[in-house]
Amino acid sequence: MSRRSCPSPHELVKAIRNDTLGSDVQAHAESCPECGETLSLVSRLQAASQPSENMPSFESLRWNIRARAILDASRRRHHRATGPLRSFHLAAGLSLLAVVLFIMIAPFVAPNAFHGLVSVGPLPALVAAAMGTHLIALGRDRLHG
Amino acid sequence: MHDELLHQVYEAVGADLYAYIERVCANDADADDLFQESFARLLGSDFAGDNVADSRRYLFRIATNLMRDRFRWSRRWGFTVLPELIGRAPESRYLDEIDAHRALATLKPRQRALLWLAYVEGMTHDEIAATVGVGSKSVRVLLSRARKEILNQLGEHLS
Repeated sequence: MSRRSCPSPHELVKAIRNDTLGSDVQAHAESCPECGETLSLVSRLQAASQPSENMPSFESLRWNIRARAILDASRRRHHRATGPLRSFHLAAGLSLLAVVLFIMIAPFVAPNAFHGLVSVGPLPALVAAAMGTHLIALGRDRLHG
Repeated sequence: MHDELLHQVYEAVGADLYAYIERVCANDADADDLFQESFARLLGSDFAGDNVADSRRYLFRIATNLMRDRFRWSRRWGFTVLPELIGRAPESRYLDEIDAHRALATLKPRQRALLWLAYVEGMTHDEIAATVGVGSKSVRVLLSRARKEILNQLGEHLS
């Protein structure tokens, strides 16, 4: 067998796996260093290819897959249920941010005492509203787990 | 996919897939997890294959992707040496057939995957490329390097 007709590794593997390795291929492998190496490597790796006894049984696999599916469905339900709550948190957070920005900007926008009073006047109400919203959201979140 | 086909796929592919994951991961806990995850993904996917051969290719691809993600996440896809092998001298050679998996374990996980798919599963370069997610030409180069490395580890000097 010439070098041109060297069997490809996948042909060798299939022949070994199916126990159909011909004597001509074996003879060729003895004379062709590369094929000899390949054959030796395939034999050694095949020898190490037995899975350990830890492989899960089909029943165990099926139950695990079902358990995962139930867990995933439960997670999805929880995600859907807590969706509005997360929006609520976001709204409360943004309100707080707006209040903080307002406090920081107000003195520059209305340096006049009278205008400042008008601008800063509703601040406590805004802060209370934002904090209240946030606390309610937190409380509901705790309540719903 | 119904239960009967799943059972057929498990019977035909399960042992080979588990051995592949086990040797590439070199960690039993990871192997269990990834094995089950591979089947769960197969069931959860919109994969329309209705025969074992298609499912086999698909499962190997899923398992390889899962392992790549796991190793990439833990930065081990590129470089891994098992703790049990760290103490060994780098010039150690594993001459026994039984030690083939130890020689495999000294390689990078991607090299292990390539060698396994080529020399145990008997996949062609194109099939390996599709499974591992690299180009066919790259498979040739990467596989050649991996082969050289494992032969070096196994102490093969037949030429």
